[in-house]
Amino acid sequence: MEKGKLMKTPFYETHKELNAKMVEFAGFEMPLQYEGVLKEVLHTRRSLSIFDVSHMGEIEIRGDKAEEFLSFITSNDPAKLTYGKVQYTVLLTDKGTCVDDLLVYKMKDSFLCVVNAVNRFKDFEYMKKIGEDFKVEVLDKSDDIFQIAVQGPRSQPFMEEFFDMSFSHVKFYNFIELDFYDEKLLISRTGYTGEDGFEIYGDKDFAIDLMDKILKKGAKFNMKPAGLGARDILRLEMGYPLYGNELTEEITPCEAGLERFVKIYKEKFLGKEILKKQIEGGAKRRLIGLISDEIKGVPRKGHKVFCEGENIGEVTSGAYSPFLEKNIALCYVRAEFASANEFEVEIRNKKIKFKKESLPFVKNTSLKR
Amino acid sequence: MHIPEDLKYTKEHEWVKIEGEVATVGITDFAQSELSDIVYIEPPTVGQEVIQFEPCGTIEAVKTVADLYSPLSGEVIEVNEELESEPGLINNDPYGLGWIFKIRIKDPEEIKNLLSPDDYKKHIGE
Repeated sequence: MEKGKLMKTPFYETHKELNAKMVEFAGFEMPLQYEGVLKEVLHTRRSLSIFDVSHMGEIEIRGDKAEEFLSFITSNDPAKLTYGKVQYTVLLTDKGTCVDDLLVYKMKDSFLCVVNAVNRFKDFEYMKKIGEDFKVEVLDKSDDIFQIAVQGPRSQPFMEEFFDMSFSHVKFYNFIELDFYDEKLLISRTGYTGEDGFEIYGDKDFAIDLMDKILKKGAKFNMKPAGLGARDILRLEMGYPLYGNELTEEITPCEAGLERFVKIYKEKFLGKEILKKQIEGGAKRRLIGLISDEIKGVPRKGHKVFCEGENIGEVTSGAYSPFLEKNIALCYVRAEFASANEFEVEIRNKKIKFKKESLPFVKNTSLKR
Repeated sequence: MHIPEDLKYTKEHEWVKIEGEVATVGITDFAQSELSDIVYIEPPTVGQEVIQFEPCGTIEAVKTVADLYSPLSGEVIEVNEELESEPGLINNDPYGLGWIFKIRIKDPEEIKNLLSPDDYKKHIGE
């Protein structure tokens, strides 16, 4: 597909039929909501939702040195992967900051990287350029693949009935490949909601047909469509970072609280010295979670954060959490304030009291790690 | 979009119901739909003097925040206190339970500055 033109996923007509309110997101026309953002958040936490996430990019890495290449450009260790495993990782600049965050799927003879829609072209060019040194093939498969996410506590019973097989052996961050109506599907137990769930990838020509089948069967499980609005609040309730907010090319994974995905023991990778120093001596700023009972305005990206009267940071994502019925925010604060408990967020010229909260904000979900 | 015939409208998507010297104000079905789920509303306070077409409050929705404008000048005589705990009433029933505030109209001449239902329909491109 061309750059610059507004793109559509294979499910565009489905969204229209389901009365979605469409918005532009990362160059795509995507559903913001169907029945309402807050309802869709609660429905996902309590029952079962289906999300079109076909805007996500898929980049395949092939070649003898594919693993070595990925080990060099990402923070996590792909050598740990065997066929059927998925890994969350960060694509790094040579300064140790985030080009993107992504999932790496270890296929039989390649790696499949699932990247953010907004970074798809950037990541592809970046990987291709560095890939030359490793003589790996970097292929953008994004236009050929659909992706849907089935999320919520009723995911497994739904999947088992729909595919007529057990999914209990497919553990969190594992995937299987199967044939369904002569079409190849890849199904991983992953998601961005904090609930149990699955992400299904397949050839886009099969997309509509599969979606129709899923919605038909889904009705029995009270499955409802959910949009990007709900997806954003669900991920924020879990403290998951969003590229462009918590992660940018100015921020390292260590600052973002992603140290466990930075494998400092690896011999050589981009930004290693900087990340090593940050892990040893701590980073200058830290990502923390804030929560407030006072629903007077909603904390939003860019709002200033105060501690003891001093402006010590800013909000990167904020929302009203319908599940907690509280306002929540992720923000970067100067490291020396990261252990404080009392903060204020300036929301439209008013300082509202917030308390630090450990992440995830929503605890005890259906997700079994 | 639902646009009741017995109301007047503003370009900023408020509706106003005029009964004698009292005007009841809310936001339109179109406005609540554009805003999506409303999570907090800061209406003007009782006794406050509001001025036609000037901001007098804020509406916070899931994705965005919007100013609330007064369709007419006057003194605020009542605000819908239900909205404090249930701002979603504006989404569910924008012309009924979701009313926001009432004013005592200062200058009836200002009424002619408001949009008719047909004008408002055109304004939102229907």
